[in-house]
Amino acid sequence: MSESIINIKLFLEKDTLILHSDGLKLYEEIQSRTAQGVETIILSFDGVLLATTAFLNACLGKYLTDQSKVALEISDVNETIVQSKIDLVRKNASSKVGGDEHDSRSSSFLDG
Amino acid sequence: MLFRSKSSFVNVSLGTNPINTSKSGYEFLIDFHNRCSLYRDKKVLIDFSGLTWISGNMVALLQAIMYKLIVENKIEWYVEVEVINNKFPFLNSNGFIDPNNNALRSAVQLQSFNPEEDQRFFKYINEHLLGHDALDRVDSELKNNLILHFLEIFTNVEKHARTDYPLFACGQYFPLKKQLHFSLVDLGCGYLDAIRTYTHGKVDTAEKAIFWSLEEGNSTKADAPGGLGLKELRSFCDKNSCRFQIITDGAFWNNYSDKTRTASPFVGSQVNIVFDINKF
Repeated sequence: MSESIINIKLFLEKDTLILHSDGLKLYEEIQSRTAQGVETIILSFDGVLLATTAFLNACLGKYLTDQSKVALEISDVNETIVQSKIDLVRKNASSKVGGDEHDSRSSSFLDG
Repeated sequence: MLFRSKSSFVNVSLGTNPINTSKSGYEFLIDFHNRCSLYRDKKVLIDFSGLTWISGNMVALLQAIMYKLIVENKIEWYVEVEVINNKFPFLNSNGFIDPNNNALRSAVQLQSFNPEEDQRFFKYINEHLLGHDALDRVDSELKNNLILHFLEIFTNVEKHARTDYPLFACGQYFPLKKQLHFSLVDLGCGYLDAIRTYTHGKVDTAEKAIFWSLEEGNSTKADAPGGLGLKELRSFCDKNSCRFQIITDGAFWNNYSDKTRTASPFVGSQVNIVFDINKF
């Protein structure tokens, strides 16, 4: 199974992730690598200090609601405040796709 | 910049009533806007001489008004720096007045952010607002939470305001009251238009639009889920006894009453937050 790591801080050149548009950039990168045949994307939050729900919704939330085929893993979340926002976004996005719908993708992000 | 005669200026007073972080403070500034909007291609002297008080954060709305009338009415703004230095010296330190300009009358410096200037805004919040000495004892996790709430409001402008105009942010710490006041003003489309379109007319008043925007999961974004920022901010404010106000499309809402009142109409929206540091 092919996998690819995206270090978010290096990719966006920011350690404070704020903008909705930056979240979309990250999502587009995920889609781009998926189109190249990558089956698992690992998003590394190494060095990320803060992340808004606006940013996270535009990448992680969108991944969940768009039913993207690639498996998504989250790693290196070192700040409690970032993890709490990821959890919030996961819950919000999950409620939009329906609680009963089984998501067949294998993903640490989905499992929480 | 020197002028030979005072008659080349139009003198517009900011009035005598205090401009606080409140509906009345908002109304006094909108009244100032409405009086100034009668002029075109004029040099306008903002008269602070009779004003008893202005909260530094409300300068965000004043600056938005000034910017709008520069663009739309070709107004040039002036102030008497000595009057401001004597009455409201903090208007030097928050960037409203260029501190290097000692002229009696001075073109006024604007402080604004484009919606994509996220890192500059973060720096402003982190260093100039929350970096105040008086907040040294506030827990760092709580500070980070505060920063995130400010940033979420900032991102709302990028996502929803549909404007090329900058947004205006200003904060003020009141050491005696131990309160931190913050205001963010945009000159965009307001809440109602986008929400009415998104809900196919089901939400058809400014009041309903504000309440809709505060509900978890409600967002007009078409390209991603959302609807968490304002709701989380409201929860934080309610939990920590902070005041939270939204003004848009002629409606004024605050979290204490959880009701709206009719306000003078103005373009865009304004969010005010008053944090009581004693409660942290």
